Parts: sequence; structure tokens; C-alpha cells
Amino acid sequence: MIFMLCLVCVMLVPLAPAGLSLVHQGLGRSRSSAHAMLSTLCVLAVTAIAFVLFGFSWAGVPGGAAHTLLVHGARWNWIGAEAFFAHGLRFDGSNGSLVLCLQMFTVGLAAIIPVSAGMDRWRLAPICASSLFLAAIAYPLFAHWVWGGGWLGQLGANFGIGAGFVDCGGSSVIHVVGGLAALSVAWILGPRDGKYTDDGTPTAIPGHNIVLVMAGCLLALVGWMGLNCAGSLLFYNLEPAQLVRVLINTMLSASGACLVAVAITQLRYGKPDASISANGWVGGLVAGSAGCAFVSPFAALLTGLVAGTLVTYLVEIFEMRLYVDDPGGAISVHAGAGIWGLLAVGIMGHIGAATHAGQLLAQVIGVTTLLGCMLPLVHGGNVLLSRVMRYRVDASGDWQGMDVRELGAGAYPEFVVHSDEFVPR
Amino acid sequence: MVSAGGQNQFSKTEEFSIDLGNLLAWISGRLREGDSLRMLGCLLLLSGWIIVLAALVLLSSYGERVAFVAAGAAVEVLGLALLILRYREPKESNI
Repeated sequence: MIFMLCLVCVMLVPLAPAGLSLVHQGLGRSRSSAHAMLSTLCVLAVTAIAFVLFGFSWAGVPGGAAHTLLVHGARWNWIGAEAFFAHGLRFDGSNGSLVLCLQMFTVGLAAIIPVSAGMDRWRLAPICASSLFLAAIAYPLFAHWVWGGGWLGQLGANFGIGAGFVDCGGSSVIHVVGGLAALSVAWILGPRDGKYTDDGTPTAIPGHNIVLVMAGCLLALVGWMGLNCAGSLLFYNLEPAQLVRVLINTMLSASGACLVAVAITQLRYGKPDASISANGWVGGLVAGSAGCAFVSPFAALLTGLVAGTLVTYLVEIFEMRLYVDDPGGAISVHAGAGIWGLLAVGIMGHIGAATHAGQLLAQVIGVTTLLGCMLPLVHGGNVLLSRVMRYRVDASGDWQGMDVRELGAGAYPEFVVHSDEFVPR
Repeated sequence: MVSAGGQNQFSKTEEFSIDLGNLLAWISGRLREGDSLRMLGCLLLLSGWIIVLAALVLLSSYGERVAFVAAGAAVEVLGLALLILRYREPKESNI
């Protein structure tokens, strides 16, 4: 029964990258939308192949083969040691086969996050190369530490720190890792042409299809529910009856974040901002994932409210203060809200006999690992790749659009903008 | 580049010193471009993480661990701030 339940949950997970890709595509320019969608498909394909062939070996499964170090009497589990090419994995309902299936989709979800930050200027070949690096090296390493029986997940057992680092739905493994990769890509690519004026004032480049963005949010909700349930069942041995709490918490977190984003933009700009509210929704899903099985519904709502507020202001700080051009708001939504969600587990979570102080310390150690190890690793990898292959499209490609430049045809060939449509009547 | 042995060096040593000079010129070029500060930012991030790991291995009491983890996090914040500033600056000058 649990196998079937897990399988159904895993089968819902691809809706999360589907929804996110619509969000990203809708928030970009129309002249790069086909390129954005093709990039997403290529990323999902590259990461699935790379993860099954290599990544899964290092990501490992809880209780599976791993390379360990014995330091001061404590066993440090650093990296998985499963066979390459999923060799020897039994496809008979084993936990390992379900973990492989789930992570084949989640690694793609992590890798499409940087595509959003590099939209309208990141070429297809480096997108695939960067995704390959993420899926084969960076993601499996951190996934093993948290979900594969690695040292972060074992902080409680080995060092008596809370119940170890906890992340049910992948706030850290998927979203913060992806969000940090997005930050690295945005740094390397620089802003789009015309994004900033000569005096440094940012220009608004609105998304071309906000309806697709909203539809993407709804699709993502279904995918997230599957992801949170599958993660809780597979990595934290949650009882099936407890899944109701996971579903309620997921919805409440997204709801709180979206509504607070609507309220803040209404107060600040006089009208609700649809794109920021959509980002708030996704930010709530991201933040709520970490502790969806271990917090009360009220705590999930609170997590969402803070995440929505954080996303609303972070988007503005990155764009206006730090000159980071992130068309889809991926850094704020995935890295910013993700880190908050991880800390919220320590503040509001109830995990076995772990104290709040101990659990918060475990979560902080996880966050410092993300910033201190994963960010240099991902950024170093992207910088090296950018020296080997040109990341950014040339100047003419910027105004021509990625569709025509890289694919040879636009996404909307019959879509003509008439200048008189913008004349006030 | 002046070799350590002064002018009475064999030609082989001079060749070596010239090569070393080229290497130093290349490195100083990198330093001028601001890559060094970005690298320093990444190294600070890494150092902060190592402090956190050291706290786990070397210390046992909760209070000491909290202090070391906070120190490691502070070093990481410094590194992140340095990275953000270095990536922010060229954008300002280019725009």
C-alpha cells in the first residue's frame, strides 16, 4: 500500500517543473518564450540522464552504500557509493527504486531554476552544460548529505544536535541549491540590455503572459503536494495517515504567502501586482516544503506569511539595490524563501524529542553548508564553464530575441503588435 | 623581475626568472580585474563552513557549538557581502 501511495505521489512530481516552466516562460519576454520552454525540456532531459547514470551513485539512498570517515569517534557519511548506471538496483518496489524515480524529477526541478534567472540572454548549450554539472555533481552531493543518510541528516544521531537537519520536501536540496545556481548564473551573465538606464535606474520589463504564470502556479501546487508527500514518506518514514497534514500545510503556506504579497503590493502600489503575487505563491510552496510534515497548520500559515513578505521585498532588493537582473525572481523565491523555510522548521517544528534550540542549530548548520559549500561549488563550476563556452548571447541577440537567434523562428509567428494598440482612446 | 642571485646568474636562471615574471604579470592582471576579491569572497564562504565543521568535531557543549557556528556564519556573511559587492560594481560602471 505504501509503495502504491509513494508511486502516485512521485507521479505527481513532474507537474512541479511543468508549472515552474510556465511561470518562468510567462515572466520572460515573448521573443524568448519558445527558447525558454525548449531550454526547460532540454534541462529535464539532460538532468534525468545524468542523474540516473552518475548522480544517483553519489546521492545514494538512506542505509545504502556510502563512503564514510571516522573522525573523533563519529562516523561522517560524505558521499554515496551506489553502482553507476543504477546497476544492481532492484525494481521490485524497493525503497531505492522509488528514491531514484523521485530524484530523477527533483534534480530537473532544481536545474530549471537557474534558467529563469538567465532568461532572455542565456544560450542553450551552456544551459545544458550547467545543468549537467548540477545534476552530476552539486545536487547529488547535497542530496546525499540530507536525504541519503549523509552527515547533515545524521547530526542528531552522531552529534546530538536536534533530530538532524530536516527537509521533507526539498527546500534545501532542490530550491536553495537551484536558487544559488540562479544567483551564480545571474552574476556571470549580467543584466539584459536595456534593463538599467545610464544612471542605474532599473527599467520594468514586464512578463509577456501573466495568465500562463497563474496557470503555472496552480499546476505547481499539485506537483508540490506530490513532492512533499513523497519526500515525507520516503525520507522521514511518515505514516500514510499523516499525509493529510502535509497537504493542508502545503496549501496553507502557499495561501498565506500569496495573500500577503497581494496585500503588500496593494498597499505599496495601489493595486495588487500579479507577477509578484505569483512569486509569493511559489515562495510559500518553497518555504513550506521543509517542515510540511513536522509543523502545525498555524505554523505553516505563519511560514507562508513571512515567505510572501520576504519574496516581495527581496525581488526589489535584488533588482534595485544589487543590480541582479533576475526576470523570474528565482533567486528570491527559491533561495530566499527556501532558507527561511529551513530556519522555520527549527523555530516552529516538532520533531520527535528534539528541542527547538537543538533543531534550530541543526537547521543553521544546514544553511551554512548551503552558503559555505554549495554556493562556491556551484559558482566555481559555472565560472569555469563560462571560460570554456560563451554563456551569454551576443549584443544583437539581446534585441533580436533568443527564439529567432537560437531557434530560427519566434514562438508566436502570427502575433503582431500594432503601434496603435497603445494609443489612448 | 630581479632574480635572487643578482647579475652573476647563469642564463638558465635568467630564463626562469623571466618566466616567473610573466606568471606574476598574469596573476597581477587577474588581481587588477577584481577576480581576486571574488575568489577571496568564495574562500571566506568556504572558511566559514570549515569553522562550522570544526565546531562539530572539536566541541561538545551546546553553548560552544552555537558560538562557533555563529562565528562561521558571520565569516560566510562577510564572504557573501564581498561577492555581492564585487559583482555589483562592474554592473554599475557598465550601465
